This record gives sequence, C-alpha cells and structure tokens, in this order.
Amino acid sequence: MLGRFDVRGYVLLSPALAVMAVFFVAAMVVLFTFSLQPFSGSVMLPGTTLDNYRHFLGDRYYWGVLLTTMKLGGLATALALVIGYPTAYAMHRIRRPLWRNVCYFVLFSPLLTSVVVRSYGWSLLLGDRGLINSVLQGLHVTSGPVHLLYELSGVTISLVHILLPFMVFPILGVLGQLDDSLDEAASDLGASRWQTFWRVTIPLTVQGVLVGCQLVFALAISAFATPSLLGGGRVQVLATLIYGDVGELNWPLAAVESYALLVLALLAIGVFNWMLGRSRRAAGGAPA
Amino acid sequence: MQNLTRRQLLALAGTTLGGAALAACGGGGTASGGSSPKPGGGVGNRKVKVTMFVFLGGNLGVMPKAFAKDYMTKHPNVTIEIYENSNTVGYPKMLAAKQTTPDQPLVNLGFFNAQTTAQGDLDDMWNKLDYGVVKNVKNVLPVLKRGNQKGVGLGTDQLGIVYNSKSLTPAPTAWSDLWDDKLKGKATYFDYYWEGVYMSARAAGGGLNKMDPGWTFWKQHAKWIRTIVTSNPQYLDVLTNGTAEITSYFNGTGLQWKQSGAPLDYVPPKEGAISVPVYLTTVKGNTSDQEAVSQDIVNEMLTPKWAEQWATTTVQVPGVNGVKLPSDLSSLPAFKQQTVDKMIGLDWVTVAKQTASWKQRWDQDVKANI
Repeated sequence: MLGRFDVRGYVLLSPALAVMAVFFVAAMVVLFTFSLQPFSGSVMLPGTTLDNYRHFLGDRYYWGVLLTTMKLGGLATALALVIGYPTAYAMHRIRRPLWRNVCYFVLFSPLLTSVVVRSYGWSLLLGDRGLINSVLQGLHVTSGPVHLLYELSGVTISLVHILLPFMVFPILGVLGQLDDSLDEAASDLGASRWQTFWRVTIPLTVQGVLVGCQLVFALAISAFATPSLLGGGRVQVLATLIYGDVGELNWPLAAVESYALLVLALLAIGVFNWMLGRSRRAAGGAPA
Repeated sequence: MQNLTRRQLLALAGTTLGGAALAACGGGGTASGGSSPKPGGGVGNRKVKVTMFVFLGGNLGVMPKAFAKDYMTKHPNVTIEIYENSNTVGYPKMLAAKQTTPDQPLVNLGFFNAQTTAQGDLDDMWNKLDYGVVKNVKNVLPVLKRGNQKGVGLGTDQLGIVYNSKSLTPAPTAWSDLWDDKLKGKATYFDYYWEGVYMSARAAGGGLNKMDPGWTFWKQHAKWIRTIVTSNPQYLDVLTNGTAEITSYFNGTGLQWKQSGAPLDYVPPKEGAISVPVYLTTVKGNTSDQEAVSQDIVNEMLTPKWAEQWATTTVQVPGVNGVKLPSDLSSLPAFKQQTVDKMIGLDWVTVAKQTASWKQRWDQDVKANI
C-alpha cells in the first residue's frame, strides 16, 4: 500500500502525467493563446484581443448552440438512464455466464462499428420512409411520417445507442458489489419486491447511477459525428461549431468555443461529483 | 475575375458549334491534341508526384481519373494522386496547408469552381500559367480565360432547380417554386448555399452588395428546409429517399444523378440559371518539377479529347473550341438558347470577399431557424 507522500506513486503516475501535460495541458495553453488573437481574412493576426470572447458571449446565436448542446446532453443522459438501469439490473440477475456474455456483446456491439456506418444505419431506420415510420403508418398509429431523422430526437436516439454501455457498466459494477442478503433481509422484514428495489437497491446504486450519468453527459455534449451526420444542419452543437470554424481557419473563435465546451464539461463533472460526495456521506452516515 | 454576362454565355455556347472551323484553322497541332514541346513537363526521367484536386460525387471524377491513368502510362516517371472532395470542404484544408507548410501544398493542381478560384486569388493560392507551356489555352473560349492567367476555364456549369421527378409533379419552373407552400419542409440545400439567398435578394431588388433582403426572406422561410447536406453522396441520398423533394443545385450533377438512374431532373428556372465556370489551376508551393508537370497536365486537359470527355461526363457547356456536346445532351433544356440567353453571371470577386460574412449569416439566419 502506498503511503500518502510515497514517491513511488508519482513515479507510477508520471507516464500518464506526461501524456496529459503534453497532449492536454500544453494544447489547452496553445488554444488559449489562439483565443486571444485577432482574426481576419482567414488568417490569425498578431496581437491580443478579447473580441473573440465578446463575439461568442454577446451573440444570442452562440448561447442557442450552447443550450442545444446542454439539451442534447441532458436528453441523452436521461434516456440512457431510463434504458440503462433496467438493463443493468436484468444483466445482474442473469446467472448463466453464456447469456450474460451475449448481453455484454449486444451492449458493446455499437462500439465495434464505425460511427459513419452506424449513423447511416440509423438514417435507414429513422428516415421518413424508414422502418420505424413504415411500421407506425402500417399500424395506423400515424397518418404521415414522424420526423425523427435530421432532428434532435434522431440524434439523441443514436447517441443513446452508442453511450448506453457507459451508463450500464458503472451501475452493473455497483450492483455486483451489493450483498444479496440485503434483499433477503428486506423480504424477511415484510418488504415487497418493489419496496425492496425502491428503498434498498436503488439508494445503494446511486453512486453507479451518478458515475454513469457523468460519463454519458460528458460524452454526449462533446459528440461530433452523430450530430453532424444525423442532425441535418438543424442540430447545432458546440462540437460541430468548432469543426466548422476550424474548417474556416478561424482558430481563435474555435478556441473560444472549445473552452466553452470544456467549462460546460467541468461544470457537469463538478455537479455530479458534488452529488456523489453527498451520496457517499449519506451512505456513510446511514444508521446500522 | 470576369463577370460572365448573358452575351458572353451566348458566345460561349454558340462558338462550340463553330469550333470545328476554328480548330481546323489553328496551328501548333492543338486540334489533334498536341502536347507541350517537352513531354511530361520537361522533367526528363525525374520522378515527380503531383496531387490533383477532383470534385467528389457523380461523374465528376471520371475524366480526371481516366486522364491520370492515361498520363501516367505515357509518362511513367510521373505519379498523379487524386484528392477527391468538394471545394467547400477541401479548399480550407488547402489554405491551412498553405499557412502551416507553404512549400508542401495539399494539392498541386486541380478543378475549382468560380467562387473558389476567386477566393484563391484573394488568398494568393494560385500560380500563373505560362502560356508558352500551356499552349492549348489559345483554344479556350475568351470568356473563360483569366486576365491574371491564374488558371483557365474548362467548362461552365449552371445552378438551377433539381427535384425528385417521381414525387414532385408538375415540375417546378421558377426560383419562386422553391418556396411553394406545398413544399414546406421538403427542401434541402448544400451547406452555405448563398446563391439561393442571392436569388431571393435579387428578386427583392437587392444583389451581391445588398443581400439583406435575401437573408430576411430565408430566415422567414427557414422552415421550408428539411435538412442541410455537406456532400454530394448525402445530397443524392436525401433527394431520393423521400426526405426532400426539391433543391437548387448544379445542372451537371443533377443530370449525372439522373443518368445514373436516380428519379431526379434538372430545370433551368425561367428567371435564369446562375452560370458557374470551372477552372483548372496550379497551386503555389509546388516544386519546379511539380509545377512543370502540373502545367503540362493543364495543357493536355485543354485538348479536344479530354475537354470533350469532361463536358460529356459532367454535362457542362464545353469551354474549348472544337468540342460540342452530343445531341442527346445539347437538346436538354439546360443548353437551349433561351436558357443561355437568361443566364445570370456573378461578380466572383465580390463573392469571394463576402463569403466569410455570408457563412456567419447562414449559420445565424438560416441554420438556426430550420
């Protein structure tokens, strides 16, 4: 066990710290200097200015993009949680290794394919003449196509498909650490299965839920390929904005937008960490 | 950059029919597809590799790829790599390469539309063609020769209406049809399609220097747009899979899609289609050998054989004397006299200067409201 000021810990961490220092910290410093440079005629000019920040923060358009980014993150996280928790619970209850491995594979399979292939696959399903609309109209649930593709809904659905493993596995990990005798104890004390789940299992898995939400939210707000391919220009998020500005060689504005995305991600991580801390304290202070 | 007027377009289309006589009178072996005096750009046996920018999608790559294969067979020391992309996406990458590694350009030569060519003038992207090497430039129609010699025209496309002929009947006939109430939510456009905004501004008394009426109109009618696309393959997919039924795009690409079996067709609007020349240019930063080979390639492409293949496969008005479209293409509405008479020419220099600000307006007024 390493002591608090054990040098060996820092030595072990040094490769990771070096990578972070070069490829993250240094990059962010360079980006910050870019964000302060004037820009005109596809060229960064010498000098320092806050105009890029003023332009970004003072224009309603960019606040709209920021809002859409947060909305996409929130929707994807909520939907991933609604689908992911029952999935994790069901996988936890599977005893046979073969079926559990099949579930792992099904869950992981989106990550095994290219995002472009996956997105075009979703466009076939979600299109106005896609499978989903064909079924809905065939069953007379709708009279005309429901616009899912090139809408926030389509982007959200595709993102949830990709990010579901990041919600399921933290919850699954926490479920795996629960003592089975807790369920028995609750049952012995007269709790129904639903009461046991609601009042025992869920509170004990909050930390897994929060970690899953943290991961999914951070990945969703920084998603680029899916909003780009399935958003149809309608779903404008910070990542696509950054790509567009880099394409125009407007590095200063792209740098400002990158920092905006970083701040958003850090805020989200901060909020979730605060909730995690409260959850741990609540669990630590629970009566025996 | 020349502003292509109706009179000039009339001359361009008309002289293709009389081009055979001019070619017969011409010298220097150009009518027979003559080469430069020093084959292969005069680089001897030195190995030279050049990268050529080619438009992505449809048949736009057919002639360049066939040419590259033929040229490399004749000049085994030369390797031509094809870089396929849209000008919209590829040109900024060229600019980035120019700023970071000016002596290693992303591409060495290529095909560029009028807007990108004008932008390249402003960005000092192009080399001046040596007409002593590119001798076949003398067979290019005057309207497609550039005063600064930075590039030369190979053909002219036009922007009009492309629509799904299976789902949209009767066929549209005017720019205003794009905004028909029954087409709300059924239009698609290429990203940053300022040309459409220009036509709306023009209809309201504005123009390239007064685009606000167009931006206001497009902002108010943003809901007519179902989706924005960023590549030709995506465009084709959206127009044929039922997502959208109408757009405004190039005659050449629209008719190529039709030829490939898609249920699409092109209509020149009765108010006039926008003429868009296509230029061949060489890029600054080339080594002397690369520049020599690149200019030799440009010269070869201006021969009737390759110019005709370009015009036929891309369905464009040929820019070289002695070349004419086959009758099945020349009889199309896009090439009829009344269409040519009404062609709208643009001041591409103004376009290039305004592009950056127009892109911001597009993001804020159009994309934010669709």
